[in-house]
Amino acid sequence: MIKSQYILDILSLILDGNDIDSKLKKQIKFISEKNRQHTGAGVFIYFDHDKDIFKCKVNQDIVLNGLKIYSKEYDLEAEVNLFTKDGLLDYLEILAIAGSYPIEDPKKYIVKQIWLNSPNREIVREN
Amino acid sequence: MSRHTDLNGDDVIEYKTGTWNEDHTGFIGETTKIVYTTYKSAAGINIDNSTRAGEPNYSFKNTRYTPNSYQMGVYKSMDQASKAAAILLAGAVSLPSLAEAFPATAANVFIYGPIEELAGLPNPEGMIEKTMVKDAANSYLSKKLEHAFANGRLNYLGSNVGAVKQKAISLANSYKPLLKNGDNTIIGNINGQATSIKAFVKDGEISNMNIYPGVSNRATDGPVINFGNQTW
Repeated sequence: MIKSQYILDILSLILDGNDIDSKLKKQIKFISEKNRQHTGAGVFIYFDHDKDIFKCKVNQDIVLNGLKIYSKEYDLEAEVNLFTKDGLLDYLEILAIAGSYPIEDPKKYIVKQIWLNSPNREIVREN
Repeated sequence: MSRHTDLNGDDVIEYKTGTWNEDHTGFIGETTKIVYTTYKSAAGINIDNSTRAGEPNYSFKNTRYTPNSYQMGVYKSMDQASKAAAILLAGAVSLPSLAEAFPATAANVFIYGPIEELAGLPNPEGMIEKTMVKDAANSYLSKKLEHAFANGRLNYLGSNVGAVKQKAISLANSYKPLLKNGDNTIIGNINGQATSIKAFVKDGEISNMNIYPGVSNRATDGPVINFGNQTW
């Protein structure tokens, strides 16, 4: 299970759309963080899978984008890519568009859907 | 490296030179050198053939190939400058070709290029003075692109990460007139695999880039450019 609220918010919004297999979103509860790789400019977050995830496996591997993260806390604007492998959520990439990316997850942030024809949802955590 | 206009109104690049240290991150025996360049625009080659008072070796001061990664200077003779210009104008710029063109004792040649490529360049009898001077913008983007290569996901693009980064930067730059401020997505197949190159543009310049395998079906506000199929 993903423990970081920040990562959960990102996953819930990036997997929120009619353009993807609904089974993919159901995979969130069956993944956990395997490890993180910070690059200075961003971070890669790799996932482990519970065995129950296989009932939600999808047939096609995809790349999902279309989120922006803003955090005044770190003067951060970042974009997100989510990658699947073998039909399962594989890793999340967050890249700061300018400057460096923080080691710690932001506590105050806005995650926003920006892809065309998205539900235009956002999650605001600024308190 | 710094660049400024000197008292004579010449465009000046001041840079450090010396012998590479082991990991090519700096120099041993560093000295400061100054290059006078007529480079004024975003494209083309300029050769300054005036002689600068007090600097007899600068009969031809500088040759620059733009817009991408190579800049070279040749001094001491018109013959060498002409040869350099011919190579550059032919569009077949490669560091080995430059090394072949200039015999070991002929010239003091300085080449601006990616550190990763300079490190692997044949350098007979120390003919080529390797410098850390590079196109400043490309160097910055190359550094930013290190993120994209961090997890080995781009191994299919080639084993020479420096060369791959330069190809990606060149590809993005080749579409510069089509890029808009904000996010731009450049997609296509490289070495048979769908690949996305993101170019983040600020004030008309590419300020950051990313590359990843695969193409998202989701469009955002920015332009999407298809470059077709390429083999790198």
